[in-house]
Amino acid sequence: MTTYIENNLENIRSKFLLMGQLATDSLQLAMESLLEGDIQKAKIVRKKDEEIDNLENDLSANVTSHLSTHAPVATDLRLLVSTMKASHEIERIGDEAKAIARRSKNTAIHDFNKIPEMGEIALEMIRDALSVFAEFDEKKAKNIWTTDLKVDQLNLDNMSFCQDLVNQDPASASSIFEMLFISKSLERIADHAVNISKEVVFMATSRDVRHAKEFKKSKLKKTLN
Amino acid sequence: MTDSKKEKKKEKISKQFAISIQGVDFSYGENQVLFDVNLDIPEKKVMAFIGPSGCGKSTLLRTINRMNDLIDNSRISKGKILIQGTDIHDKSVDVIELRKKVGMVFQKSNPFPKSIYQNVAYGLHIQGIKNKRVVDQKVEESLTRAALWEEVKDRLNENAYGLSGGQQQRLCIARTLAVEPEIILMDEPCSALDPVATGRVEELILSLKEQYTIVVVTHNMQQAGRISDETAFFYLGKLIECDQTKTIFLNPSKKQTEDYISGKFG
Repeated sequence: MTTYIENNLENIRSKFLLMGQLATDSLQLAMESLLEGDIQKAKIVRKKDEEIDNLENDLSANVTSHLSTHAPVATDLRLLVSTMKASHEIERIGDEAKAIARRSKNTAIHDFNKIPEMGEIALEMIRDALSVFAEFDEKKAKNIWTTDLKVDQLNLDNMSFCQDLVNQDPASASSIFEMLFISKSLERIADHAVNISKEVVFMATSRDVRHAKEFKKSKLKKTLN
Repeated sequence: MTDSKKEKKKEKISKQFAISIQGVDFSYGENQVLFDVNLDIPEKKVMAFIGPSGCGKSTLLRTINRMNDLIDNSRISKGKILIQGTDIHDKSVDVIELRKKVGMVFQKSNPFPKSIYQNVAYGLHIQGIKNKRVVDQKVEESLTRAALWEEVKDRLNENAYGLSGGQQQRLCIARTLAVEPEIILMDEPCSALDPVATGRVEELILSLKEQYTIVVVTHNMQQAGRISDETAFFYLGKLIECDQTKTIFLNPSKKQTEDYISGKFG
């Protein structure tokens, strides 16, 4: 019975990490598709998104079944609740990566300003979020939250950059808007990484930090300054 | 601080709790089953005792109204139990009065082979209350508090054995309430009941805590989670951990507690 419970939980944990790996690969490919203009990579991203969606469905079914049959408590309960919620964040990352890949076909501009840097940082944030899920490290989790501020700033830079571009070249407006949407997708991906790491804090410590005042962006900005 | 001052301070603190168990060792003959148990149970709260079979939780429950006195060679060899600041083993304490104050509901419902009415009125008759109007009123009051009145008001003179298991258990609770206890001890009160009857008894426990201090021994972790304010986990005769129920079931501080409530042992 005990082994059965442990196997179940391990299976759920593994599915989550697999989803995370697929989402990381998707974003990597979406960025390559954008920066290298590689349409084939965009197609792979779409396929990976389907895999992520299917895994999310599987994981939800496994969690629901475990909750209904074993009525877990303490660490097991926190693992299940957090994993279910974090898996939705991963699924959203997959969607954003797919959106970036789709938009990569419509951008005809060559200067992506801060987007390559945002992509690198967002990828690192997802990897870090998955790594704190696999092995909890509170310091690393908190680093993700402060790194998110940097991504927000880069997104703002992109917005003013795009504004200037539109003023200079109104004919390319639709292409520039695509770039803006891509920047926003990366900013959202960083937010999802933050949300995952906050779920992990709950999973590991039972502290709910999602809306904790001391970790709000405005507070974090002050501590950095 | 001198020893007597310390003792007085301790007693003052213990008066703030309905029950204060202080360093209790308990043995059945040579077999020690409780080891240095220290536990304060607050007033008008539900405290759940959990732990694997043989961990001493029922023994501890039974020491609170001295039910173990009925077992030969059983004794508290160390420590004491205070109820509202009074040592229950003090010579001045009348055991009958103690058990009136600290009622008990058992695992298996045990109605007397009498009518529903007589079951509830039994304790009142023992106390010498003979005024029919007073007894009638108490019976109705107790059955109402036990959430049974509406179901039995038209058949009070029928034999209690005709009630369902869940109704019999609520009848036993009504019988306990009739003598106006301050504390109610419940030893696995729902273990013989189906989920619907269990739900009724659990609702009843939640409503009763407004007026009574309740201590429940249960093997049902989800039940402890649903009805209790605090939970104490026992293992091999020792109190391992006592905390708010939500803390015990979300983030217990001891690994043994975590392993037990997660079904990893026991």
